[in-house]
Amino acid sequence: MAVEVNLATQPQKGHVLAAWGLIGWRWIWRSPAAAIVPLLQPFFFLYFLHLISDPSYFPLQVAGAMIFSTQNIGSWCLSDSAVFRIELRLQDIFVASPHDKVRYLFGVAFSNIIPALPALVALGIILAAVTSVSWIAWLVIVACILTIWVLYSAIGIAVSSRLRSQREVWPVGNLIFTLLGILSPLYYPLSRLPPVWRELAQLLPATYAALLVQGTLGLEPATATSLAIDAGLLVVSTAVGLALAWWLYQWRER
Amino acid sequence: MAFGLRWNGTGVFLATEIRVQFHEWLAIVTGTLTPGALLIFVAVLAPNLIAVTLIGSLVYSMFLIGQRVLNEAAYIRIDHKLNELYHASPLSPEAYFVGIAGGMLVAYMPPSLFVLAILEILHPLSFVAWLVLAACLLAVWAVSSTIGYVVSTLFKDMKTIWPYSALLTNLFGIVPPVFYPIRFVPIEWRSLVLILPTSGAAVLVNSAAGLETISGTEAILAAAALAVESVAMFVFGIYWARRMARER
Amino acid sequence: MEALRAVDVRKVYRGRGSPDVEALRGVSLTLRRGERVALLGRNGAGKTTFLRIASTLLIPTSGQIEVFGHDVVSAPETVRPLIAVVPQEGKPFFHLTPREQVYCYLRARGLPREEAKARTEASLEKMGLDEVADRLSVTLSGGQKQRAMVATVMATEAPLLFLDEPTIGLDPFARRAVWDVLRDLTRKGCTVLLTTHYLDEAEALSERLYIVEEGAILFEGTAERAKRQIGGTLRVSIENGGNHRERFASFGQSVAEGNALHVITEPEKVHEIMDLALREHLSATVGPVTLEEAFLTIVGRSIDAE
Repeated sequence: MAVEVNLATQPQKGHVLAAWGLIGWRWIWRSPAAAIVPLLQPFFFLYFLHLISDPSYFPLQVAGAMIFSTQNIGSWCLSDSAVFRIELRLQDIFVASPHDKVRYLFGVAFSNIIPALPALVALGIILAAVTSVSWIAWLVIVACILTIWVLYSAIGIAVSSRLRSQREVWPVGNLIFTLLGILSPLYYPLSRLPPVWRELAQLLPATYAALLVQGTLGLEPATATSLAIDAGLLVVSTAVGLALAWWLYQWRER
Repeated sequence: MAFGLRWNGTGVFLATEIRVQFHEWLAIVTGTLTPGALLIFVAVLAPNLIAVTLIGSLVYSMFLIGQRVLNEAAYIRIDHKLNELYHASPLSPEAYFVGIAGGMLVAYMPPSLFVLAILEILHPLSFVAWLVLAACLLAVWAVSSTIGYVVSTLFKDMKTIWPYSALLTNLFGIVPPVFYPIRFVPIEWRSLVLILPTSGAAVLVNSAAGLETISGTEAILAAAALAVESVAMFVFGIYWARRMARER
Repeated sequence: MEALRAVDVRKVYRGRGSPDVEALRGVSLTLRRGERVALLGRNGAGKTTFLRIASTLLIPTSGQIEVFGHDVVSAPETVRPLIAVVPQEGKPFFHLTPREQVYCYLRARGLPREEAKARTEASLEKMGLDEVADRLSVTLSGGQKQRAMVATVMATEAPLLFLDEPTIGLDPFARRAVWDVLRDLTRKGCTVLLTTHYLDEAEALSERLYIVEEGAILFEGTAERAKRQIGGTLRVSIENGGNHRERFASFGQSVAEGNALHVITEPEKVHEIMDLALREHLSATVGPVTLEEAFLTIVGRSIDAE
């Protein structure tokens, strides 16, 4: 028979935002480069793209940079959760606590969106300056960003849970997130891609997020039906991605 | 210490480092991804710039080797504290630095050879262009390895290093004309980008390969800056390695 | 009702390109509520593996462990609010201070803000971290980092605490501070299971101990019983006696340590041993049997048997 008396006095659920918000905030407060570099990086890349491509693509590329910056949070989550688990052994103290794996995943993701927020806001301001953004478009952009944030953070943390050494973090993270960044047409229209690549791109949630955002902003031709289909496919591909991440995510070692 | 003695053990340590790196073949393969990604963007958005971008990939890959030196040296020092094992030994600090830098160069050469092969197919280089390419890549390696090693000694944990590493790769690789021709740079900024080792190297090789035209003055400026930077930085790297061998 | 009950726990680590490793071979043990129990063993004996399974960090190959009546494998969500673990070689978040580390963890466990603050201050004070409480963890010494980890987990006052080598790297004062905190926690009703290499710690702190070797329990009981079990209450330590082991064999169990030989015997035989030693021009001292001899003997017997 289980002992009930101590159970009643112990907290059953953890506070995610309070704990991980402080962890994420303190990181950028104490390491200013961690706040400044994520802010600058998208603009370095946009400058490069602006030089080599058709100027008419610029608004599309700004929108793409927002999605790419969000996607990149996944690689930070991968790196962080690997450090916490492998080097600091801190994941153990969270596993052996009421702070369950969903809270932990959300916490790490939340602590890593904090340094990305300035860049997202700045890009949003630039987007509004270079193209007209309706309130519906803002809703779509925010929804896509939140979706990509949750999914790619989950992918990063799930992959990280299978790494055995710190030295695997860079190559594995680089492999996954650079490939994901290249395959999705974030910085150019889908139509510019070769056919085989186009098929591959259509497996990725970020592709549908990009299509939705580009279509809603009027940067690429889209109908209400095509946007609805893109939204539906974003939901489906995200669900598949999350299921895959959940299956991969090892909270307790075997 | 006599000059010969200073470099005693360099070969063995370099071989050790190469062996360690080859165990991590995935890192070597994925090291090509970032320059590869930029190649792809150019192929999609500006295919006429492919040859310039291929040369840029080579230069950038060489710069990234320096970032691998940063990572490796920091990892050895912060996580393993193995640097203490080597510093408290007959292996000199400069041999340690050169061993890590040289080991990375050898280990990460194969992907660059692959890019070289593609370049040679798409835009064969003359003998002079090959010489210029080799000299420039070596110079970029010397500069970036030193930057990487010095930065690796400045921090106490790996997480703090990451933003600086990302900043360096952007400032030296993405922003300046490494992956695109110098003609895209406004005239008032051209001297500055010619002085930067990565863009200077890329411009020199592009010019030697006949992919872009620069004036004699610009060529001399880029070549002189690269030569001075590579020698000065490498010497500084040796000085810094000796200084850092004993914490203050 | 037991705080922890383990029955025939086995763990095999599957090798990837190397042979499988059987880390635990049918370990059964119990912890009563409010007890302090130590797991002693050599490196690779299986102590950490057992602790990680019991604290829901690792899944066993077979067997059962219950914490306050809840199965750790099938009901970890019920177990986890009741436990906390100090992992081996754990380090605090580099970019947080010890104060922030403890507070964040308590909040992550669900404690209300004011209670988390109060417990944070108390825990830091008990672990002697007041003066460095607001320094970044990356700037702390190894011992201070370890104390910060211990403080983080002690502050939870969880009903069952698992501590994996909690005093490693700590100076004698800090170790005693940790012991005091653990004794205080068990007085409040917490149960403690710790692994340690420090035999003085096991003897001073634990009410019972288990000696583990190669994944199996060799001994269960108090430190006193372990010492009595090895055939004597006194130890005669003979310098350079290692080459004369056969001559002293008849007096009782002997344990070699470098060149020295420790003979475990009863008081009535001590005089004879001393005589013999002096005749051989060997220097000898007498003292009570320590846990170390008991440990070496018990584990040594097991190694010899194999």
